[in-house]
Amino acid sequence: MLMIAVKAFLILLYATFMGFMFMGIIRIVTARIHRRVGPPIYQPILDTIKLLSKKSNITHGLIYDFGVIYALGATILALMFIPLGGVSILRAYGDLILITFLLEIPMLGIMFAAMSSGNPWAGLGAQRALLTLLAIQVPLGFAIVALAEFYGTFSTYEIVMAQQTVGWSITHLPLLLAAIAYDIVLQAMFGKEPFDIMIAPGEISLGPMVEFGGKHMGILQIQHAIALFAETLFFSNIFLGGAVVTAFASPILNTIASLAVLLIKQLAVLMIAIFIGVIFPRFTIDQAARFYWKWPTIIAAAGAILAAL
Amino acid sequence: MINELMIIIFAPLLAGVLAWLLDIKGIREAIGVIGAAIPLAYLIQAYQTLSTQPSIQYSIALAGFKFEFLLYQINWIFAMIAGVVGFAAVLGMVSTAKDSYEWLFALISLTGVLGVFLADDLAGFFIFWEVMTFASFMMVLKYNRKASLKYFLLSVFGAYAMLIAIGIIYAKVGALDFATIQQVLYQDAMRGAFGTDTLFSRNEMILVFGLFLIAFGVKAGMFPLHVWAPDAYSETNQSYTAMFSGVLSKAGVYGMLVIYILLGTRLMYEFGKFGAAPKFGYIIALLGGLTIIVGGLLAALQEDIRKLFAYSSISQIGYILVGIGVGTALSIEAAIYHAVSHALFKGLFFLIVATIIYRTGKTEFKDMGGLAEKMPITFAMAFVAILSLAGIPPLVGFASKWLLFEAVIHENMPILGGMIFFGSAIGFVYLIRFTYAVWFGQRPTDLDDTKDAPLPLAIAMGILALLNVVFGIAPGLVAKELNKIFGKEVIGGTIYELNLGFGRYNGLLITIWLVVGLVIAAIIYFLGAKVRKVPVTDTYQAGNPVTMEYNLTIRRNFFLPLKETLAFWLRISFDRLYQDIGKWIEDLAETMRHYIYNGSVQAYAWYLAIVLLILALWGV
Amino acid sequence: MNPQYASLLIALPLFSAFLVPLIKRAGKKVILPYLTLVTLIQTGIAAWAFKEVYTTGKPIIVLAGGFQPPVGINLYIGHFAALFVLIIAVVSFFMTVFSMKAIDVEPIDKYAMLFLLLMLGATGMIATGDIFNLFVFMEITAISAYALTGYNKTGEASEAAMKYIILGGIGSSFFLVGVALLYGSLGTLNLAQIAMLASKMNPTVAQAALALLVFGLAVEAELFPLNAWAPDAYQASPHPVTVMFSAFVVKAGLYAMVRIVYLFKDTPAFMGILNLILILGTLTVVIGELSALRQTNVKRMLAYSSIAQIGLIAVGFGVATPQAVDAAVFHMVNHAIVKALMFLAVGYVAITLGCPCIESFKGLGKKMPLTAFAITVGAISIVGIPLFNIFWSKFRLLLAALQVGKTGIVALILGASLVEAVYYFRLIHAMWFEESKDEKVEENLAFSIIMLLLVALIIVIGVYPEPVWNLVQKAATDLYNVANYIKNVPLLGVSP
Repeated sequence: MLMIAVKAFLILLYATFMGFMFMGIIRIVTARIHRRVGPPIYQPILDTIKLLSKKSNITHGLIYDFGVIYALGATILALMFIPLGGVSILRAYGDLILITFLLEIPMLGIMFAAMSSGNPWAGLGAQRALLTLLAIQVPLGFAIVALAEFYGTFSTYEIVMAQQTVGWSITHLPLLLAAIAYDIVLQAMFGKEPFDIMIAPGEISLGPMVEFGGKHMGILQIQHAIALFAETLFFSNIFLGGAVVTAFASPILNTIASLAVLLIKQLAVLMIAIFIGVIFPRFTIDQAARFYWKWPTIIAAAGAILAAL
Repeated sequence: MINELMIIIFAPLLAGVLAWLLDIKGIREAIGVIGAAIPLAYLIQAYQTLSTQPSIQYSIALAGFKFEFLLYQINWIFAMIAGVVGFAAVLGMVSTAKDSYEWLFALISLTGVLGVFLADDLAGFFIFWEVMTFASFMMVLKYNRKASLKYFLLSVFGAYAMLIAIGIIYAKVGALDFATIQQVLYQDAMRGAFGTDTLFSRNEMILVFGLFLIAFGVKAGMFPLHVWAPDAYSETNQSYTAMFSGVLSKAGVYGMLVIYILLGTRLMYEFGKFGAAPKFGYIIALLGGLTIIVGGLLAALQEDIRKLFAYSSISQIGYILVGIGVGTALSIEAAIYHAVSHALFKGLFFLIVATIIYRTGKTEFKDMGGLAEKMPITFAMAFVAILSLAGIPPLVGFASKWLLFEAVIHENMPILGGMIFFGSAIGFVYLIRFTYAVWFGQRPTDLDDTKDAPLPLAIAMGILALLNVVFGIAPGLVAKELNKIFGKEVIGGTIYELNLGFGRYNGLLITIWLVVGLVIAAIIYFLGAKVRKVPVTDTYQAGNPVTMEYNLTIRRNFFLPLKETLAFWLRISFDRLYQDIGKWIEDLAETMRHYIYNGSVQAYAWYLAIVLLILALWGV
Repeated sequence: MNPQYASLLIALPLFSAFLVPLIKRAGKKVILPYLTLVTLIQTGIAAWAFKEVYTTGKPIIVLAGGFQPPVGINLYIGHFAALFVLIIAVVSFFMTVFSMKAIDVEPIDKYAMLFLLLMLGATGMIATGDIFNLFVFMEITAISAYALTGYNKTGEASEAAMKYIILGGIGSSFFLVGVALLYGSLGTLNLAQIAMLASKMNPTVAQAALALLVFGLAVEAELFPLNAWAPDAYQASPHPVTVMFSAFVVKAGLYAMVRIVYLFKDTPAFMGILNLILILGTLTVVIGELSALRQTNVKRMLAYSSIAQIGLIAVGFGVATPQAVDAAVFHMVNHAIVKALMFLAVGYVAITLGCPCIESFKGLGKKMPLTAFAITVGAISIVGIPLFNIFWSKFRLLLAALQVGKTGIVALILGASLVEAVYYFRLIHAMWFEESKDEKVEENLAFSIIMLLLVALIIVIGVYPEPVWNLVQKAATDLYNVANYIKNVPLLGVSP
């Protein structure tokens, strides 16, 4: 019991920290591509601490508070189910469908909170976020279907283990297609260009987030960090082979090594997202929907059908 | 002693007639509630009996038919759905029903649907089907003639299709009871497998299957026969709709199962399989998938709260059809599970809608907003319902949806898999629309003194909400009953855990970890400084403060971009097609009447001559 | 009691009809009560005959003048006839009550006379055992029907009566030719003997005769397209007469047709004629229903609907399996009950509110709740909703038709039934859910009782069809089982 608690705490800490680092990396890399210097890598942490320690916070009612808490809580929940090398606690229950759903739930909390504020921009942002969700769902679904059909199991952990023997998922054509589609989907999940219409920075001032400030925003920053970590982790696990290192005698060394392997893979995923995001301009929502319902869907569906054969 | 099955079926009918005849406010409500409670009580009691014997049987001879009734595991589950949701809906009606007319027909339709579930022969099945259709039609007729007629015509069209199918089977088999039909068709399949002549030809099987598909598809609201549902569900007492959508549509689903039970082997032999699914089932599943998408997209575009849930109901039934269509033991169990959870959350939703309409008198999103503060209990119920429908663990909606996903995808059905994935997202989309427009944001000033739910409605919602949570955390409770259908452990695990071998889901574990997550988040939250509550006008407004005079909420066309994206597809409407056909027939009829009964006696005399001529040609 | 008293069924109305001019001397007010009294006695006799037949299980054979058939003319009151004679008497009795309010056009004494003759004719058609006698009764029915159709003396009524006369006249004459053909080749007019000899007849002649007979009776039985007179006549005739038309006059015609056709069961002509009846019946249903769809005159709408239902019965007889005949007879009984109720109620609305047009029916639920309720029950029943009587007969009928593979015909009929639902539910909606400014009307007690009685009957049969179903089965066997029919008639020279 205590062991589980300690483990969970450590995972949480690691994920949060790494998530913040990812956020920092995004800012730096983007800045470098823009030929700016950019903030230090720990800047997001400073921002969050600042937000959390604000003296004056406003609220729009119970749902406004609860939604934020719910978003973070659900993200933590999702994190626990994703295999993280050898340490994750609930990986036996890390069902593909379950995780896919769990990764979407936090958004519900954010939206509840945002909409309960009554801010029209928040409403608009929620609408766009939902439509983006709807748009990505089709390729996402096909990608998951392809995975489940290819491996014949829904357990993320078993998929990771299977990849140790048959090679990474992306080395198989059906799953390569699925991975491409999923990666495009990931772009929207991160809220990066060209699919960042829901937050539309500079236009509707961060969409659903517009009304949040102080500790609410701080909690959402933490949530965002963990979610970033969890999403890249999930992708690395199911498509990039995850990490099962058994080379060392000491389990601790093995764990650290596998975390390191995972981190590299996660960073790779992140980098692709940043590069795409920096290069492309923003799609409007109907453009995004039409795009997702066309190429990624076709690619993912092809993957799924190939996997089914 | 009167048989318990008869009591289960006819108690609501009797109560309805009594309530209608007495028509004294207070008493009729009491009678109605008792009438709905009796079947539920007897069904719960029957659970005990069913654990010692496989079934409870009863038969009665009437008008030259022998009507068989049988209560066993599958229809016990369906009857329980009817019992529980029917009871909750009737409780809701205590608040919302305006006169004894509604009591009469609401309760008759409960009798009808219970009869459909318990009937063990096609004659009884058909009769109760008609009773159910008619009573629910009368419930709609009171509110809207056009909607009700559309409903009735399509339903009766379906019922007549069923009648013809029944007739064909009767002509070949010579019996109407399920057991005989099942046996004869099974033997027929065997005969076919050995290469001898079969009783039914291939075309006859196609015909019978097609007719049944139409019959049950109409009731279930299957695309493209769904067009009646949005109007009919919305144009009636919304408490009743809880039953209408929650239970009556399940009769269609149950009908699909009856196809399996009666014709399954024979159809499978005739048409073979498509992957793991029987081909005929795959048709059901594909139509179900289309139903999910069409229903869901249209739900997102509605401006009327009742319509939104009507379409949503259609969409959710699509899931059930997909599950049934895939036709493995697991997928059928998943489908029935989803039928249970759909009844629970959709029943809850319609009771919520009933409460909102009862308290505000408004039905359109543009007139609502900010009700969460005024109706906290109702909002809490809505919260449960939303999470459940959207498929958020640990509520029952997720458990059943998860099972369905796994069951379908595991059978390597990529297209269906894609469809149900899309469906779950669209569910999200329209639910947020509902949440945003009704509960949050700026409140129109005329809703400032809205009260919370009246007691009977609150109790009814409470019952359903509780079950939503309980069956979500302990999905094994339902799974255990479902396993009894096939007599083996299709879904493994404990009462908290579902274990399929290739996927696991543990409701309790999720709950615990969600609580852990929430606690951590709450700790961070409470570590921060205190919060100060501000009104809705005090939000970020690009620097310029606003007053309540401004409209701060997107009240109409919330999903306008979606509408624009789908513009091409939205132009296709089956509803319009059917209406055109109807109008065309009416015109044709009028023209024909005009020429045939033209009032000229010379013409009539000519008819005589023509008939005489025909008679002469006949062989004289 | 001596079974021969059953001849009173014919004698009483005939005799009473001729007494009417005498009664008139006692004052015009006495005529209708007199009419009521006569029909009441008739009902009593019919009830007795009914009881007699159904308890003994044997038909009552009345020999006119004590001569044995085929020399003498006989009445054959079997299970079918007993049932229908009772229905005729009861409906007539109700209609005399209704007439007291509904008939205010003179000459009332002529009305009474014609009324009795109409009843007599229909009773005779059903009860007789002789084909020529059948022709006579048919003519009595038809002629009194013509006269009653034109009784209201409006232009519309005269025109309707005129059409009826022309078509009916043509029909009758062909019927007579058919009878002549039969007599010419068989030398007998007795139905039982015809049946006995039928198989020995020259098939061509048999077919010709049968075709002519069917043609002649089809006019009375309102089969398409020979029913063109019916909508006009139904609409124009006085309300009680419409009830009688729909409830039993047309059924008498149909019965006669079926009885004659079934006599030829063992001949090659039989199947051809059956097919013809089947096709005509189906067309009648389809065109009747479609025609009713846009009617704004409720009485006329009911007329079309009535025609359609008759078509359905004809289909049942056309299928001609025992099950189908059972169902058809059941449907006859049910339809008589329901249409009596409907035409009565609609007629009552028409005389109370001025016209049977749809406007009168708007908000009828508030104006005349009981009548509106009665119409509603009737309409629901006709549409074929379970727990109401017509459902059972319709259901059985269609199953029977499907059983012999008539899927196409059944599909057509069901399609037409959809239409039926449309116009009846429009009516129901207009009655209950549309507003009207008119005041509530005090409803007549006697009519209310009659209507409630019929409503009760509809629901009782609907919920527990068993007793009526048993009766009906016996009645149908009487129709179907021709061998038994022959056996029951004590033919001269043929030892029983």
